[in-house]
Amino acid sequence: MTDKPTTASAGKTLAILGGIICIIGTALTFDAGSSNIMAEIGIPLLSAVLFFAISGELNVNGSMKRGAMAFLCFLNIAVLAFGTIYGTMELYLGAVLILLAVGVLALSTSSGTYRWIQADRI
Amino acid sequence: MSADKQVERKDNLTGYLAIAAGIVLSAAVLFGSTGPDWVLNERAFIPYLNCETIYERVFSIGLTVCGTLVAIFGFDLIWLRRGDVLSATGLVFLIAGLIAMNITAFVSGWDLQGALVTAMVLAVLLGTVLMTVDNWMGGRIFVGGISLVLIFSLLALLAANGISEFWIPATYGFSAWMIIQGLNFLFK
Repeated sequence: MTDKPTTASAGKTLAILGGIICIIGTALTFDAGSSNIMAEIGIPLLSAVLFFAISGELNVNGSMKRGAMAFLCFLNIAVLAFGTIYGTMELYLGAVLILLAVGVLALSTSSGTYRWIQADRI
Repeated sequence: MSADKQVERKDNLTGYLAIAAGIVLSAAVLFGSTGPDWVLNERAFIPYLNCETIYERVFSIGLTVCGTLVAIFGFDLIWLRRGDVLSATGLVFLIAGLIAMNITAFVSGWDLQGALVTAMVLAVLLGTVLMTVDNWMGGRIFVGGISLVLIFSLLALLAANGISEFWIPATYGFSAWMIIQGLNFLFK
């Protein structure tokens, strides 16, 4: 096993940060009087789950290939875009989370991370 | 001509068709948007014979040309013979293109217009989803990912604002998507 590349570590850190910001941001901006409570809670939590899933897969004992990880990252961006446009998330919170998700995508599909996943992870 | 060269030429043709269709559709919508009374909604998809203003005529002709290009693009996808999903995508786009041509060039009354527009939109949506699946299966993660984000964004717009504010982002989104798919065929 070789040393974990910086890109993988940075991607993992960003993903954990994204998940935490997603949950805290949702809790702080939550409107209890909304008639659409399930969507307001469910969509941000789905995004948080995806953030944490990606961070877990960037561990040394993760098992996902690059394509599956890229799919999760794009799905996360798509879910965040859905939530922001649909209005279940505040605009600034959605924008920050989409930026974080794009950063996670760039880091987890970078060539350094790819090489590590393909050959050196375990 | 070698087999590799033939495959490359088929890919190039598919790519050029997709790019041309995307440019024609966005140009027609852009020109229509400059009209003072022209609004892009379900009633904008009118037969050429029923058009009254220049904006309606240009959009109608643009849709006919775009429909023809999308139909040939769909036929081309079937012709490539590169898997069941891509062939199914081609068949759906062929149907969508033929319906678009039919709405603007051949239908002169209003009897079937609403049903045809709905069928065209459903066919385009299904084709986009199938093409996205094919992109992911073929390992083209960047194009597949952009398609995924586009589909989710359009669904959110549809859910949030209803059909009335869906048409403009949907047509521009579809144009951009066609151009990206075309570039993907050209440079893969």
